[in-house]
Amino acid sequence: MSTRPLHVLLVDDNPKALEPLEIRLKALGHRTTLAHNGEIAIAMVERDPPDVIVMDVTMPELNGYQACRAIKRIAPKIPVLILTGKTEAADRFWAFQSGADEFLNKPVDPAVVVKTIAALLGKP
Amino acid sequence: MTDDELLVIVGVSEGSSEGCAEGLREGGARVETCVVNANDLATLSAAGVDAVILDVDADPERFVALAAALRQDERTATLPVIARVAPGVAVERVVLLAPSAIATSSSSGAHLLAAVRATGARGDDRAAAAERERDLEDRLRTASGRLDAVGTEARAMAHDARVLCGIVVGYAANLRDEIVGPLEDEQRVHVAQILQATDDLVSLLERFSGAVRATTDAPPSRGGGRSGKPARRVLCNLGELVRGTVGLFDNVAAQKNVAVVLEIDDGLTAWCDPLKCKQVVTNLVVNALKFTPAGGRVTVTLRPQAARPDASGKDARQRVELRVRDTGPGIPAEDRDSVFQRGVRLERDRGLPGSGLGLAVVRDIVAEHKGTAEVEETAEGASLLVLLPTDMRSREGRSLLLVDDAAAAQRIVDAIHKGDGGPAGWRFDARRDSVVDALARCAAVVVVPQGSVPVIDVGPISERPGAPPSSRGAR
Repeated sequence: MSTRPLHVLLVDDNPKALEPLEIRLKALGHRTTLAHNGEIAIAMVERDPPDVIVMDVTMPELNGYQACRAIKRIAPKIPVLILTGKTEAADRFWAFQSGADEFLNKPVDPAVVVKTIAALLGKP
Repeated sequence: MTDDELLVIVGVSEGSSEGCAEGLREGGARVETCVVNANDLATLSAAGVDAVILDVDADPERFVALAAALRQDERTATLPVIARVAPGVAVERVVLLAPSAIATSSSSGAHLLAAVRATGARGDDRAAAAERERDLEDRLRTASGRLDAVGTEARAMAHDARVLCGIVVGYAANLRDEIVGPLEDEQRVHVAQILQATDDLVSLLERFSGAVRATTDAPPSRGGGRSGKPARRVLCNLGELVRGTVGLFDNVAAQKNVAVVLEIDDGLTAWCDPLKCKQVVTNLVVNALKFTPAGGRVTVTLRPQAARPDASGKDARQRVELRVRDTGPGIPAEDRDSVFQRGVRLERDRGLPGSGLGLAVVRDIVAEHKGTAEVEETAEGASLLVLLPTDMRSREGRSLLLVDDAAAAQRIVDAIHKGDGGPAGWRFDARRDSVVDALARCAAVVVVPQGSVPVIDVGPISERPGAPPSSRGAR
C-alpha cells in the first residue's frame, strides 16, 4: 500500500468483526478510527474526513447502505468499501446503488482488504 | 333442506307473488313474500331462510343489487336463489342476477319446489367444497409462514456465522503474515490448517445458504405453492435499464482507469423483472471491471439478436443480446461452462476478492427469464453474452383483464372462471389508471367492448406487443 500513512474509518456495530483488520492496518503504519453505526460514521466524516471507509451493512440506527448514501452526498470522493456477511445478489446491487466503490463479503482475508483499499486509492 | 324449510319470494310489489306462494305452500313449504329491496338482506339472513325466489316479472335490473348482496354476504352466499321469470323477460338480462336456477312463471308450485331443493343440495355441496378449500388455504398459509420464518432465521444464522468466520480468518491471516510477530515453522503449519478449515466451513455455509435460497426465495405460485419463476415481469426499456445500471460504476471505472463503452440500440424492450435484470448487468460489469487492468476497456453492448430464418418454435422468439466484453486475461476454454457454477472460481483468481457467486446468479436469473448466458470465443479478454427473450411472460398464471364498468358483468365472468377451475378474473373498472396498472401485471388481456363503458385512452393496449386485434380501438 501507499507509503503515506492513511486514515481508515472502520464502521461496524460488532467491534470484534473488524479488529483483525484494524490491527493489520495499524501494524502497516496507518491510522484507524472506529464507528459503531452509520450515524456516528457520518459525524466522523464531517469532523475528520478519512482517506477511505470500510463499512458493514447490518447496523442499528442507520445501516451501511443509508450511511454510504449520506456520506457520498457530503464527501463524494472518499472511497467506500462495503464489507458484509450479506451474500444475496441484491446486496451487491444495493451497495453500488448506494454509491459504494467496492463490495466484499465476510469472511475475507484482511490482506485482500488492504489490497482493495490500495486499488481504490489508485496506489497498487 | 328440511321439512320445516322457509322460502322467501321477493317480488316487485306487495301481493304480486301471492299466486306463486300459494303453489309452494301446497307443496308443504313455509313461504313468506316481500318487496325487492337490497336493504332486506339483513332480514333474510337473520330469519333462517332456506331459499330465495326472485319473482322477476318485468325488470331484472331491479333485482341486481339484492342478488349481488346475497352472493357477497357469507351468511347467504350459498343460499339457492331461483329466478322465476315472466314471459317476455329476456333470459340474457336475467343472467345478470347469476341465479342458481331459472324457472318460468308458468312452472307449477311442485316444479318450483323441486328446483329449490335440487339447487339447495348443490349449494350444500358447494358450501362443503368451499369450506374444504378454505381449510386447505389456511393450512397452506400456515405452512408458508413457518417456511418463511425458518428461511429468515437460517439467513440470519448464515450471516452471523460468516461474521464469526471473518474474525477467525482475520486473526489467522494476521498470524500467517506475521503482523504480530514471527512464527515458527510448525506454528505456520497450524495457522494454515486453521485457514483451510475456515475456508471449508465457508464453502459449507455457501451450500447451506444456496439450499435455503432455493427453498424459500421462490415466489409463491397460484394456490400458495412455490416455483422458480420471477416474482414479476413488467415491460422494461432495456436501454435505460442497462445505461442506468452501468452508470453506477463510473467512479469505480475512473479510479481503475478503465474505459467503459456503451453501445446501446435504444428502444429495445422486454418483459422482465427489472430489479433482477439490473442484478445481471451489475454482476457482469463488476466482473469485467475486476479483471480489466488499468488502461483497459469494458464494452457493454445491447442490441436485437440477428434474424434466424432457420429457427422454429421456442427458438424463433425474438431475443435481445446483452454482451459485456473486457480486455482482461480472459476465460480459458476449458473453464467456460464451470464459471457459471455456484461457488466456482478460477484457480488464478483465488487471491482476488469474490465469492464465485456473481456469474451463477447471472445464469439463474437469465434462466428464470428463459434466456441463456454463455462465455463467447474472443480474441482478446472475455466476452459474456446473455440472450433474453423479449416476451416470455408466464402463461400459467393467466389473468383476465375485464374492461367493463358493470359490476354484474364482472361477477358473471368471475363465476365462469371459478366454474372452469381456471384463474379468477381481475376486477377492474374502466378508468384509465386501473387499466394501465393492470396491463403491467397481466399475462393476457381480454377487452370486453361494451357500449356503456366510458371512453378510455386505449393507447397502452394497442401499443402493447402481441395485443389481440380485438382489443385495438376498444371502447
